[in-house]
Amino acid sequence: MTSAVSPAVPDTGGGRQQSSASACQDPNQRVPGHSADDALGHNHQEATLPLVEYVNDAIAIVQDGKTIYRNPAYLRLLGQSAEDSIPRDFLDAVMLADRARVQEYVQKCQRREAVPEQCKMGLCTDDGRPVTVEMKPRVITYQGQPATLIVMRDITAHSQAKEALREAHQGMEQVLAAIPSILIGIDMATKITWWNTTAEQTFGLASSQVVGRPLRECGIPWDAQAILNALATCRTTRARVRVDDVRFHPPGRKEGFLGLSLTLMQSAFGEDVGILLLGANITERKLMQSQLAQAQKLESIGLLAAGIAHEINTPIQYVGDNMLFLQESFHDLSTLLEHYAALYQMCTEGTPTASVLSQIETTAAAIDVDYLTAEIPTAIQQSLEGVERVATIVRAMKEFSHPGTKEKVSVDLNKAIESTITVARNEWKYVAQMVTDLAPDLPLVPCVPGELNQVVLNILINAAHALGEGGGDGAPEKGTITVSTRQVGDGVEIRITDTGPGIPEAIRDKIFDPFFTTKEVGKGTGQGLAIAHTVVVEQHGGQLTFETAEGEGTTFIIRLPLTLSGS
Amino acid sequence: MKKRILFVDDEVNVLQGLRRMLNPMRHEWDMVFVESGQEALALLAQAPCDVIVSDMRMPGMDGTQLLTQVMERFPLTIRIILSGYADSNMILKAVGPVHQYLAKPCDAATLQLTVARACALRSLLADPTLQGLVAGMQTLPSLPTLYLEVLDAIRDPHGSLERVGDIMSRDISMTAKMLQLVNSAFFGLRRHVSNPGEAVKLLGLDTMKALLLSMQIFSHFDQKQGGAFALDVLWQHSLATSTCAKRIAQEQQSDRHVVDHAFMAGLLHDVGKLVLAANLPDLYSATLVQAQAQGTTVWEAERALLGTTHAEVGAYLLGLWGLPDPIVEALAFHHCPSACPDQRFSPLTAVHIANALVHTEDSTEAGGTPAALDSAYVAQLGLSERLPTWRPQPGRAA
Repeated sequence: MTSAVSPAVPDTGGGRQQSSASACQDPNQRVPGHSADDALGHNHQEATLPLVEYVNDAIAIVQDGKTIYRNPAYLRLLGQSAEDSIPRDFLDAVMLADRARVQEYVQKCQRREAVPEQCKMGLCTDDGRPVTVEMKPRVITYQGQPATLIVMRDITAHSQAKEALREAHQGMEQVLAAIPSILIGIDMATKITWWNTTAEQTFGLASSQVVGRPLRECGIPWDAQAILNALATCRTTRARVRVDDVRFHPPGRKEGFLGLSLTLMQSAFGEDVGILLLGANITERKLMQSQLAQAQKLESIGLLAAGIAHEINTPIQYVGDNMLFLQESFHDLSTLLEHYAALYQMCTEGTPTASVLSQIETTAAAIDVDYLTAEIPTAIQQSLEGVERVATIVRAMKEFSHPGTKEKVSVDLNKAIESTITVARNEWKYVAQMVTDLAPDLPLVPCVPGELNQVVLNILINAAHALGEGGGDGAPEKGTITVSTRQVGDGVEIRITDTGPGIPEAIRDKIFDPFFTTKEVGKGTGQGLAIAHTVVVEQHGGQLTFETAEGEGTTFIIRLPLTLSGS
Repeated sequence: MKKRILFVDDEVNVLQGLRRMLNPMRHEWDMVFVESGQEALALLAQAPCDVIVSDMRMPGMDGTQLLTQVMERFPLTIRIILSGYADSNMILKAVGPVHQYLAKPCDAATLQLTVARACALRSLLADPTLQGLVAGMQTLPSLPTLYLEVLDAIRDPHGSLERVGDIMSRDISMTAKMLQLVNSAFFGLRRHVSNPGEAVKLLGLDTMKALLLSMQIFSHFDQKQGGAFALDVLWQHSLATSTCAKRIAQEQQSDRHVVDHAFMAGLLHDVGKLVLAANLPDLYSATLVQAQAQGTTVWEAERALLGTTHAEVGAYLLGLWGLPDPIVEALAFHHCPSACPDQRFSPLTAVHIANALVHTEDSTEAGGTPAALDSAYVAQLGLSERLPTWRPQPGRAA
């Protein structure tokens, strides 16, 4: 704009001095008039185009501090009219706060001292509006007298926009600072461009220590290799990259985990400008998750422990009772044997006496030999059964818990399911008949046995509870729980069916939600099925679904792939 | 006459084991074994049983449901649980209707002793009506102020076990109930505790909350119904007796158990009065009035009007509840210690002397002459000279 105007503007220096000088020789006839082109247009002789009248910049000529010429743009800017009396003091229109500075600036110009090219100042229009302008004074000769040509451009809108931008930027800075997430900007040369407060707090490094420096030289206490790998992936795939469980170890604090997502940032023109790392310290969350899973495990173990105690105490009770009986019976029988031994002795030596025979008779009657001979074999038989029962439970517990195994191994699911059914026996035996239909040719399935047993257990316990709800006080009919396994395509399917009341329509889509529970407060963490879902779907790449009909029962279906997928 | 014992368990092997193990008792006990609650009730309807020993977890009707029905329909039967199950919610529900709780595996001696003791109690209380009344008592009324105080303490979010225990230690009924809980295997404790405060600490705040608020194991005494019976007077007398009995036992260099039992028996020695006043308020009030009018001791009037005494009633209840023998014995014989088979120094000695000494100090208790000291018994134990030193100081009730 300035360049469009400047040919028409007299210039005291430079190449156009000649024409400017001629233009300035006789402008007074029409000033103050409605047109300034004769005064200011260097070519007023040849063209009548009143350039000064048409430019958008406000132009005034000031002599001895008085405004003696104003172009229409000036009038518009200051809300003045051509009829207003002039000359006025030029400085009258200038905001009070700016007057001294502007005056000095103009004086310096007049003295041809070095000044900034432009001067920003505030004006007050006649109708009281504040306007911000950029002003450029030039010393000219007007009517033979030295004068100052002042060109002003209204930058009110511009400066308002700039102010708004500054405010917005400041607001954004505040927002970014307030974000409780780690926010790190990296340019394409992997230099850090952004490092927010959370990043400072997380890593114990101030923004000033890292911004502008290459990422790998900043000594950020994190798993740098994992980050560099992620950055490389982000650059090559040009997609958002999510990295979880990045270890970090801030000085003087405990080691923790970060979850970060990396996003490629592009300029308006589509060129890559950097990568934004956004993330959080997920240590607490991971801890909570594992505690929650642990709590659920403990809950079912607690339940199991009470049940297992009962399952073991019962046989121990009758094994103990039988042993006591056997001890006393043996004692009784050995008394009888002694009499028989005496009888034998007598027989070998001569004739037995009647007293020995009667002793045998009395003792046999007193100790009830018939009872003993009938009871002892049963007592032994039942004791052996009891010992076997305890052994079965203990074996099943060992199978069930699989201490230590956190990896996927090939598992005989049928055996695992049988163990789980055994350890949970006390939970279902009062409410259900257990029917197992396990495919004998089921292939081994890669899975984490402890976790999968937990899934089967959670579903079994839910099934037992579903059956338990039906019964009132009297003698409710026992329901049935059926567990079956099958190979289906390239996976296996475990189906656990109960004949309970079914899952009400209203809660069907909630049952896998964490914390959802139909049990009374304080009973159950509401994690059982949520964790089962996580284990089956996320850990094993399988599916956990259910079929249910109100009044008929529910079937939970666990599908597990036979081939190991990376997870 | 043979005692009839009914065993209920859903596990046939357990029943057969019990039958074999208890075979030596066949001459004293007539034992019946059934596999379900329904069968047990049917059998009881045909012929009464002295004691029922039931499993807790059974399909259909569980042990608590069965024993609750037995309590309502056959109150004379003494109710014992024999269970290997440890779920505390289930146990809490059993606290009311169950007299004693045995944990599986239970050794033969404990089971035999528990059943035998229960059978022996029968001879303490001849009258079947009273037997039924006592056996049906799930709670004993407490002093209203203490009852409110303990509810307050247990509901206080900042409440402490110490405070709850402290309040209970001062109440006769709460002490009795807490001792029932810890002397039986209800919560798997079954150990000697020296006072209810210790019992509270063993059970923990959550269990105490459940017991008090959900199971309502305590109740409060309605003085309006009491007539001539004044619980607060009884309470003051009992506190003074327990303090005095404890001091006597201590000064006799008794071991810790004897001191603890003397203290608790002192507090509980008149619990029978509370049972009678709560169950037969009019009759019992009349008894007290008569004792006053005729100048007899309360227990003599009881004997005349009720055919029994508060000593026997109290001993029967605490015996049913499985409190330690020395306490039951002290209660049963606290008026006539010479009748006790054991003539050595025991909690009974301490309670008998303390009771008599406290009575001579304050004779505010309603009705009759105070219980007399059995001088021959005291002399035989060589304690006559010590008596003056044991007199409770006035104004030092608790």
